Amino acid sequence: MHGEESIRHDLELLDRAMTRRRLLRGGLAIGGGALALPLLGACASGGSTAATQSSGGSIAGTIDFISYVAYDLKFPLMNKWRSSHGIDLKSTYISDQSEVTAKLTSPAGHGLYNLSSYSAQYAPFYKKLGILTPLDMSKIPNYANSMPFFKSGKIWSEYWNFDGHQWGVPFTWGYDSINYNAAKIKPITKTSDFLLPELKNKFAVADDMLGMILMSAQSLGIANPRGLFTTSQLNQIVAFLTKMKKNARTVASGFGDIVNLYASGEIVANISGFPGMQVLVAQKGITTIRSALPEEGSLSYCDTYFIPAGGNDTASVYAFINECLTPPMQAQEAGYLQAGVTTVNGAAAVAAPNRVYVPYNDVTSLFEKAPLFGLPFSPPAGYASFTDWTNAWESVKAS
Amino acid sequence: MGIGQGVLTATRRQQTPAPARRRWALLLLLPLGVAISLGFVVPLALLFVKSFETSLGYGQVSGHLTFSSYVTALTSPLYRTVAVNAFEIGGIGTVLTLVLSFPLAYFIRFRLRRGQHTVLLLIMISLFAGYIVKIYAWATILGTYGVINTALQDIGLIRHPLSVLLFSKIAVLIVVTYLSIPVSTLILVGAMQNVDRSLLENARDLGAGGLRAVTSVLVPLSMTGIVASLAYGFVVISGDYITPQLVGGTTGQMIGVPISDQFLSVGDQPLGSALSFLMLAVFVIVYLVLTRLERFKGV
Amino acid sequence: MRTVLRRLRRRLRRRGIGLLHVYVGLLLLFLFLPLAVLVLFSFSASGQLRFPITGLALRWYQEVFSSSAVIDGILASLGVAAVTGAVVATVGTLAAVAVNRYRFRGSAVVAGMILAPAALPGLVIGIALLNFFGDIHLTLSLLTVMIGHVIYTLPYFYLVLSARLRRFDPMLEEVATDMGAGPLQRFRRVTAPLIAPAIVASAFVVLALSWDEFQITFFTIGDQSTLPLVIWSRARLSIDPSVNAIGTLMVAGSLLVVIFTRRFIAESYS
Repeated sequence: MHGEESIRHDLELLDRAMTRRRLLRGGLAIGGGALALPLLGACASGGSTAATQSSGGSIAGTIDFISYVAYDLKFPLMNKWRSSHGIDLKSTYISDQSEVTAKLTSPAGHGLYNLSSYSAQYAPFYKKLGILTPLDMSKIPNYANSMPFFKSGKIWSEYWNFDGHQWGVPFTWGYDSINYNAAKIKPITKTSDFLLPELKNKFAVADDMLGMILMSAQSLGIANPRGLFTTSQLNQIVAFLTKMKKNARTVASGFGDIVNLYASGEIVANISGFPGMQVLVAQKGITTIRSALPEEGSLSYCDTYFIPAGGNDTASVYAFINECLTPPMQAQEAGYLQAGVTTVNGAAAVAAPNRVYVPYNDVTSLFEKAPLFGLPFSPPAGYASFTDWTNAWESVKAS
Repeated sequence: MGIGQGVLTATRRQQTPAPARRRWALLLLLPLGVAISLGFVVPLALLFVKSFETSLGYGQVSGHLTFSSYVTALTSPLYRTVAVNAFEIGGIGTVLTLVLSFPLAYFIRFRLRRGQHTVLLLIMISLFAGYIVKIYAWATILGTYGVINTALQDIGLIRHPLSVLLFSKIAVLIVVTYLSIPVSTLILVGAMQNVDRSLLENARDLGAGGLRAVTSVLVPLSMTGIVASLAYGFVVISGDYITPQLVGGTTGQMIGVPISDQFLSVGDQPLGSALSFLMLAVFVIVYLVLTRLERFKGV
Repeated sequence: MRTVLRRLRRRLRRRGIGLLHVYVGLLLLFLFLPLAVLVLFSFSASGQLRFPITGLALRWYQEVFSSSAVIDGILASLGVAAVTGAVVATVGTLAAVAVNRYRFRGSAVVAGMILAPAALPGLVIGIALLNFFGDIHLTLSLLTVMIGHVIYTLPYFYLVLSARLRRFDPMLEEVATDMGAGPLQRFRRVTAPLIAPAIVASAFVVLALSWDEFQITFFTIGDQSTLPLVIWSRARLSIDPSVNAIGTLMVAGSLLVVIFTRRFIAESYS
């Protein structure tokens, strides 16, 4: 079913998924332009773009998009929808959320883009930077189909709807897990297992700052919803991670590297991983990779569309966002982005092979075990900041 | 240059007066001046200035100038480790490269008559065959199930694959040495061109054995090439930020990696710049030491 | 063990093969091992990058040539190399001629400045340029890559060309002057045709260096990719023989360049 090009495409997405949290330029910003992005993920079921409510009025225009490759949803179904509505798409790709921050806060970037995305926890920070626009939710009626977690509750009021307005629309999400090759070792259940001598030199650590720091924090029992660690707690995390890194075979800079390492037999496990790893390595002929949510807990991510301040032509953008929340599109997105979808009817439409990315049957308890942690962009005094986290991770890698 | 040519040059100089010469020269050099200033001098100067700025994260800086980046760079144990690693591998690598290339250069210059061009050609091909490609090829060769381990196991020399061949300092050393040998050889052959074959033969006639003839005659005479090879190797190897990432694993990280990270992801550009200039300072010191060596041993 | 080796040595000596020959042979083998592996696996029918190779096939090449990303990468690399070559050849020739022919004070300093970029690792040049382009708000693109390549290859062009210029016999020019030729005529009828091969050879060195360049390109490139970067991003996603195929194409490209300059190389090392 998958052609070579689409397999490459899948892997490219994976790489992007990892690079979402920090980054080496070699991943998608460069590769994205170069790699042909055609094909779709899963086989398309559901032909017609079912008319769930769509906004009236002329929506033709241009979407000036800036975010990760693939977040502009260039799969055939969406492409067809756009062209039939006269919506043009111009994309600028980034390989790290910080690039979005940089581009949108610089005066040179103001007004250039009308669609972007943020990792949910960035919301308060971006609000402070003044790059968000309050959304006219009457233009996104399909948002009402979202799962309860994404349209109500505590997290919703922190990352999506606060200060009397809605600032972003969540559309894709997932969580970090542990991966291992069940054919080569017995199941790994804990993050702390990676410190054991049995695994020495047999696994890869992903170059994923957020994932590694937060999973360690969970293992050490010091994780908290606001992502606040004192300096000594951060040092604890660094010590933990340094030990783990020294026990590893290598630090992999992208998920694609990890797939290669499995294929060449260099590793039998990796952390941080994600459920889709099973699918990707399977394409290399190894079908025994498993994913496990660590007992100590893990973390989730959720990417959110927003309209950058100063963006024009927003009618097209609203229509696009509304459309991406329809079941046929959501079904496509699950495979295209290798992640979970956010609407109830969308989730129901996701084909079986693409249901592996998130546990649709129990979203609430997943978010309990793997929360959407807050990020300390401007922490209170005495607590480590996001920059401190970045430096901490650099020191782990260089140790 | 022989005496005859010297006379001719003198005559020529007489024919073109000095101011006219200078004018011509400057005119010809203008495009170069523009290129070098804009493309090299100015960027480096700006980078130097940047190293004194205060970082606000995400690539932003404030205008406030400070030495703090240099202090961090010099005092943080993190950077010391990777810097030491880099210069260690740089030092060992460049010496190893020299030692391996020297006999090859000698062979090409003095032992080959007709085959010279072919061998030089082969070396140039291996040089230009894609930096990235070669590193990945080595990753395959050094892997647990790669060529070397499979071969050694098949012969029976080892029973279990050597995992230390990949994702280690050794892997980095092997790859960077491999990458430097072609250029080093070319540099050495170039330097040896100026050494007359007869000098070596004379040395042998005077009783020096083959090896002694080489060491006591060839080495001093090709010292410029040796120094150039050592300098080039040290700079290129220490500054490599790709090889340690791809094959260095957890122990073989070198300073190029955090430097590039600062610019590509972390966003503390003053720190990245400070680290770069400290690295350049080390290079300058090494150059000075090496040129002193050259003057000491040279003819 | 010792006697076996001694006997082997004697037997080889009889055939004129000394220790040195063996060493050189081994070293050349070492130099070409990765390339051999690279090319070999690019023809592997299965996707495995391990021995034994089960069958040979051209499928990876088919896949590579049908990928628009690879084609774009090849075109980008060719474009960058061509423009870099042209710029460097112009600027560098003028400079080499200036320094070599007109002995003015400070020529050593100029030579030093030309060679300076070669004394820095690509990392530093790359970040200095990245920083610079950011400061002047120049969007990263193939143009910025070209700028980086020009700075990087200029010293090498200059080195090779001035080495040849030094061997150039000034006698011929003297003869022309004696016969009454003015400086421009002298340049056109005597100098230029004589140094043209040297310029071409040095320019080919530039082409080869630019074609292969990665470290500076990595920092200065925008949305497009040159071939080495295509390999980089591909290899990070999946090391399958298609990467080998592209790599083999790169080697083939370099091979062509080197073969073209073969004649000129011969001249410099004779």
